[in-house]
Formats: sequence, C-alpha cells, structure tokens
Amino acid sequence: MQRFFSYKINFLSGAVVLVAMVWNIYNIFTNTPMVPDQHWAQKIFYIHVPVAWTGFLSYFIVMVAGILYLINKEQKWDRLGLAGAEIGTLFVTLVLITGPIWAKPIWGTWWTWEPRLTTTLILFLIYVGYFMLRSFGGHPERTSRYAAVLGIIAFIDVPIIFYSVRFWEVQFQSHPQVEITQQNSDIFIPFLISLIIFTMLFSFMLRFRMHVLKIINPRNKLK
Amino acid sequence: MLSVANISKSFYHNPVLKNLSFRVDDGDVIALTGKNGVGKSTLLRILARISHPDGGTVIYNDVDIFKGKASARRGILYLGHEPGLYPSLSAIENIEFACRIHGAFPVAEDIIITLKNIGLSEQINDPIKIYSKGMLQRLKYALANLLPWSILFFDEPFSGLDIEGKNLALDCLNTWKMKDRTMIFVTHDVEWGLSFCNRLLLLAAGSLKIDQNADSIDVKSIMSGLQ
Amino acid sequence: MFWSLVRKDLLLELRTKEITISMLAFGLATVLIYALAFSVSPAMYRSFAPGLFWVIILFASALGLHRMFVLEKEFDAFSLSISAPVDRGIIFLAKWISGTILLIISEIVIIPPFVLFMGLSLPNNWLIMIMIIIIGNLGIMAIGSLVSGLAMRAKMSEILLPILLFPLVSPLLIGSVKATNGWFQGIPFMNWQFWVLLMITFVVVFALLGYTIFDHITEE
Repeated sequence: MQRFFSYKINFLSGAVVLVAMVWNIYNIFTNTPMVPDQHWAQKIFYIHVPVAWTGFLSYFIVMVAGILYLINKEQKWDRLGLAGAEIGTLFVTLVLITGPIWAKPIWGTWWTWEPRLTTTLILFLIYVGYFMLRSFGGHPERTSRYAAVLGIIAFIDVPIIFYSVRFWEVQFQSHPQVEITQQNSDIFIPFLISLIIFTMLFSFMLRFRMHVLKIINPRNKLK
Repeated sequence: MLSVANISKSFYHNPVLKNLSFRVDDGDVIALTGKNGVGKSTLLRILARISHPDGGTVIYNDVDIFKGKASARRGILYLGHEPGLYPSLSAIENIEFACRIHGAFPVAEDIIITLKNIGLSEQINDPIKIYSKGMLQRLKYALANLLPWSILFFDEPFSGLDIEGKNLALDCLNTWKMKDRTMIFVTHDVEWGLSFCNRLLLLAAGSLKIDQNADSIDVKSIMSGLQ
Repeated sequence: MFWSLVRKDLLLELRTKEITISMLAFGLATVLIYALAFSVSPAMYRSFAPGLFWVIILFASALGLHRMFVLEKEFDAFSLSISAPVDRGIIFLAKWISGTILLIISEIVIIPPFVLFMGLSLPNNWLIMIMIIIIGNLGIMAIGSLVSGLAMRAKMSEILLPILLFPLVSPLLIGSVKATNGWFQGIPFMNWQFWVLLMITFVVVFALLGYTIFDHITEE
C-alpha cells in the first residue's frame, strides 16, 4: 500500500480542506458581526460548536462501527472505531478547552457546569476508559470486540446523560446563543459554513487515520 | 456430529491456529496431541465456545455454535485443564449447579454414590479448594458420569491422578467407549492415545499435520511432529 | 436456568461472604471518614447527605462488582457457565439481580450508621425511599455487570472497572441524588418524579442492552 498522499484524491482533498479551513478562520474574524456584550469572545462559538458537533458525530460513528464489527468481524470496522474514537476525543478535548476560553470573559469563571459542556466532559471520561480498555484489555483480537461493545454502551448513554445534566441545576444556564437556527443569517450562515468545513476536516482526518491504521504492521510493534 | 472449518486464532497478532478443519463423527474417540503451547487447549476451548476464534465455523448438529441459540449446544461437555468449578462451594453443590445448567436434575443420592465410586466419599460437603489436584481431577469424572452429554471435550484426562485414580479413570473411559460415546482428548500420552482412541490429530505450527485413524498411523511421523 | 445462576451466586456469597463484607466494611469506613472530614452543622449534613449516600453506595458497588467477577475467575469457574447451553444474556441477568440483592443486603448495614453519624431525621414515608434505593441499585448493577464483563479479563481490572463505571453511571447518580433529596426535604413527589423516571429509563435501557450484548464479551 502506498503512502496516503501519493493518492491524487487524498492530496487534492487535503489541499482543499487546508485552504477551506484557512479561509474559514479568516471569515470568522473578518466577516462575522460583533455580538454586543461578548465581542471577540463570542467568535469562539464558530469553532466551539462545530467542533462539538463533529466530536459527537465521531462518537456516533464509533458506535456504528462497533455494531458492524460485532456483526461481521471485518477489521475495517475495528479500524474505523479506533480512528473515530481518537479523532472524537481530540475534538472533544478542543471543546473542553474552547468552552472555558469562551466562558471566562462572559461569566467570569473558567469552568461552568453548563449542560452540554458537562455532557462532553462525561463523554471524554468515558473515552479515557475506552483507551485504557484497548491498552489493558488483553490481546488485540479480544480488545477489538470489547472496545466495540464499549463504543455502543457509551453512545447509548449519551441522551440519558444529556437529559440528566440539563435538568440537574437550574442555575447552570445553557451557553448563550442556544437556538442557533433562530439566529439571524449574519451569524447563521458563517456558522453553517464553519460546520461544513469542520465536517470536511473531520472526514479527511478519519480517512487519513484509517489508512495509517491499515498500513501499520502490528507485528513490528512487538519487536 | 461436529464439523470444524477454517478455524483461526491469533494472540497479539501471532497466529496460533491457522485455517484448521476437521470432522468428528458419532462414536469417534479422538486424541489431540502436539507440543506444549501449540494451541491444543485453545482449540478445545474454541470448540466449547469459551474462546472466540478470529475466523472459521464450528457446526454442531447442523448449528453454528457461535451464531445459533445456546440450547443448540446441549450435549457438549467441556472438562478443561483447570477445575472449572467454584472453589468455595462443596463437591455436591458444584455438581448440582453444573447439572442444572446442563439441564439435568440429579437426585442427591445419585451424586453421593457417584462420588463414592470415584473415590471421593469423604469431604464431599467441604469447599473444593481444600482438594488436591488428583481429587479435583476425579471430581471431573463424577461430573461426566452425572451429566447428560453427547460429546466430551477433555483436556488431559490423567492429569494429577495417582495409580488408583488412573485406574478409576480408565474404567470410566472404557465404559464410555463401549457405549460408543463421542470424545476428544487433549493428551501428551501418545501411547495411550494410539491404543485407546480410534483417531489421532497432531497439531503443529497452527495446523493439523496428522489426522488419521489410529491403526494406520506411522509412529515415526508422530514423533517427528512432536520434535 | 436463571434461578440456578442466581442461587449459585447467592450460595457462593453465603459461603464466602466476600462481597457483602467488602461492600459493607468499605461503606462503614467511608461513612466514618466523611463524618470526620466534614464535621459541619446538622443543617449542612442535611443538604449534602443524599449526595454523600449515593457516592458511598457507588464506591462500595465498584468493590462488590469486582469481587463478583473475581470469584468467577478462580479455578476458571466461569468456563462452566459459558460452555453450558445457557443463553449468555441470562448469565448477565443473573449477575444483575444477584448483585442487586447483595448490594441491598450491604445497605441494610450501611444505612443506620450513616443516618446516625450524620444526625439525620428521616421523613416518615420510608417506602418511597426504599423504592428509590432499589431502582438505584438495579441501575448501578445493570451497567456495573456489563462493565465488569469488559474489565474482568483485563490487566488492572480493579482500576479499570471504576474508571469505566463512574462516567457511565453519572446520569443515574444525578437522578438518585435528586430523587433522594426530594424525598428527604419533603418535597411533593410531582416535583421530582422526573428523576425517578430517568432512573427507571436508565435501568430498562441498560438491562436490555446488557441482555443483548453480553454474549460478545464472555469469550476470551
């Protein structure tokens, strides 16, 4: 198998994603309106929310890959599950970092038990356990099965977690700008564009990581 | 009765079993032999559905044991290298539980008589963790005499037995053989395997180097397979 | 089959007493530590007693779950159940129910000292609290049995089990604490029935999921 970028389509899509992301950042800084009371801090919203959505999408993919792996045991589903877990956790870590960056100027504290942020934190911790299971669960042929099961359990728990933290403490209001679709188009359109571009980035990273997982010869690791 | 097709199993990407296939017909008494660590116990555990193969199928009475219902595996009895029983429960309690989950309901007297016949009349109400290795091995024979089984997977039938125990074991084995029971033994005792069993399987480097009737085997080829 | 398995688990516990003793001794030790560490006014105890109670139960459950599955590994006893013609889902259900029963037995010993050391005065309608405790225990044991199956054969299983269990059980923890608090403060049931429904949802979802998926994690 060749290196990832020697395939024309990968090189092209990588270039497209890179250009699109650079443009996206530029767009966020120059073309989006300044929200009163929040100013520059609010701009994080255009990164924080798309990253959160793609992180959760990634974990959803881990669940689907887990189900498919348990059904037909093909290695590609296991690779998809692992790649999805890694990228999902990376994105979710970014959410947990950008959340406080947004919260500090607005609410004056670094951390707040806002429902969606709390759900993200819990999911992050579940996936810490996921990687520990992959490492300590035994031989890889077994941990693939067990990780698939954990990926399914984790995502099924997500809606229950979300509803429990949402009604947990009334004083922890949701982030500002809760109803994204009700925003005016000055905010909504750049947000949508950012969401699409982050999803493109996510899918590119996923394909790249899956390619790497396929060509790594596991037996080399043991030498 | 049992059809094993293309079974593969790896541990840490090292293949232990590679595309293994063989058949077991009613009444077959099979000796499965090979060097230490070659994967005989692993194969037996796969057949008993304790270990999960990376590929392949095991069909028992026309049902794939990994996909079919649990009740389709009725009749399979696995006696492994370890006791496979609860150390804190007594011999009687362990046997009662084992029988119930295999669908049998033995009467207490029958259990006691069977234990007596196998030389375990004392300490039958004590937790089996105080038993010696030989006593635990005899307990497996008691279990096999009380449970209804159609095919027996037995890993090292003589492990830990003294002379008396071995004689009792041979009695049981001979009785089962006379009744045309189907059995697969993992054994290092090739001599016994050749004399008692009607087929011998030699596992080496992940595949079956020999799969023949015992009377037509060249002993030299077995010895070279075990080097 | 199911009752044979439950009976076996309870019989094992009767012989060894490992699970209940570890849960209850740990529970009592934790109650003492908390009472010493947080020596505050009775009013303050009242406000965080529900949370404290469920944290203690959760930690004790993690210990108990670990022991339950260690007992299966000794002498390779688990291979007896899984090589038998028993539906693996039934094995899960049996672990779930026997675990819940053992947890309830431990709580009978943990609760009185807890109430005593915290100086709590309890409302009269105990039956509702018993219901909350039973549902909470069923929830912890449902997800716990599932996760123990995953951790059972792993290295460092005593660490891996709580790390996997605690985040997954968090919505149940929130619900149990909220419901307990509602009962404790004498708030009308209507105001906190949502939390009981959440707890029941959790129990149903994970009992069903466990029954369906346990088969995939029983084999080596």
